[in-house]
Amino acid sequence: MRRTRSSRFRLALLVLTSLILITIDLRSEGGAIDTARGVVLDALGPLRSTSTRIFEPIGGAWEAVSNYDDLEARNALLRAKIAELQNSVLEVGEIERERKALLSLLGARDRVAQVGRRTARVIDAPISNYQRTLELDKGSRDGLVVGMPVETGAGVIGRVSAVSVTRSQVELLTDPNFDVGIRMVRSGDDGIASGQGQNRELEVSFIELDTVVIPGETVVTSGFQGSTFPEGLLIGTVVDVVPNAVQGTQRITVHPAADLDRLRWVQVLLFYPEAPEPVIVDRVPTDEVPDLLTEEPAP
Amino acid sequence: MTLASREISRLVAIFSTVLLIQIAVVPHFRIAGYIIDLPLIVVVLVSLHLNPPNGALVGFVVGFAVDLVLHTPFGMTALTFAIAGYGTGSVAAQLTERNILTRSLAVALLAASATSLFACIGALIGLEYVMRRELGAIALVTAGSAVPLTVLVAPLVRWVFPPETIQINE
Repeated sequence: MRRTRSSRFRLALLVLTSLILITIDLRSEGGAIDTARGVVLDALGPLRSTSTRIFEPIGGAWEAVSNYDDLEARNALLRAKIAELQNSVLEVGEIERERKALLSLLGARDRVAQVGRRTARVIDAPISNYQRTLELDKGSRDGLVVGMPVETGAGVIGRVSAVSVTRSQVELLTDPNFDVGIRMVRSGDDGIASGQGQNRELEVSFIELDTVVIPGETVVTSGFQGSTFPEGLLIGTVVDVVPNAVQGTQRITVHPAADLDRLRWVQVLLFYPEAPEPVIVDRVPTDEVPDLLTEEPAP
Repeated sequence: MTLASREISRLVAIFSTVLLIQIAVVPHFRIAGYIIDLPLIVVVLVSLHLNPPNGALVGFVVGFAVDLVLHTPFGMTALTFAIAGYGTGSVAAQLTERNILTRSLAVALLAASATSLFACIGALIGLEYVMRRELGAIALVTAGSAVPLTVLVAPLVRWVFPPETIQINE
């Protein structure tokens, strides 16, 4: 009896210690725990880089064998996508020209183009199923700070969640804790996109019922003042819209533009949320746009 | 009873190797897109040869080390592994005399329960780390990988705990 009580007491002590550690970690930013993790991350960095070089090809072969059907379907999907993209390249070029003309007429800077970028290699995948982060081979000595947006050529993949001297961690777009302010390109309405877990689409909330949203519509970051993301970064495209009459909003499902499964190289945007005054581009009513475009800009 | 220094040093050797394998190798060989939780499975396997408090202690220490490399809240893995070690130690007496298949299935069940516990703790402290569909798949992969791993790691566990030193028989 005494032994059982003593063993329960020891378990209670360990549970209590763990709970204290969890509380300290959740309530402190950049404390001793983060420092210790940074040191371990730096120390293990070379091992992880080397193991990635060695095991990545073998792991790729393993995946090809174990997920052959999935790869075949993905291959077919990519071929279809290439054909689709080839058709839309000309259209995109035209839209980009119009966008630049509008921005220049409105006297606004193209913030996304002006933000510096740091290219980083994804040196390892998450080591646990409960961790939705990637590790990059760039850290604070390369100018990275927590909160910076990370993207590939295809679109946003997440944000920097932890930084050590030589390494950093990226919280993925699909992480259930990930939220970002977005704008529906067609209507110009703003909402919040939230991650729903690995291999799941994003969910957009706060889009009103009377806003017309169509599948295929592009979703970009809204870049509100104080946001950790600049305006205009590509998030994804709408795949489903379900009206919620009770809440007076729509539940919009968005497919991320970037492929989060096979990331090798990414770009970290050196965007500082505390940077002075983000430029707010005044919304121009759509019926005024053609006039602006046809007019000659003032000298 | 406390662990003998020989057992402690062998446990340190095994768990250091397991952690390095988990960090460097395991993420590259996923099953259905999910990662095998090797440290958890080995904690359960080792705790089968320990009494509940020592199982909890070993689980806590290993979980603490895992917490240093994971970016989930610090202490969550230590808490989960400590409870898993205690729970395994509590049922160990009923399993040591059984054949390897029964033990493998028990380890699979305990490891799957422990990985679900981790998600529940996350949900309790307001962090939704996994959605329901994922949790089922993760538990299934953990359980499925625990069966062959029990057989593979069994000789190492016997190396740490030769039959005459098993604590639960005291």
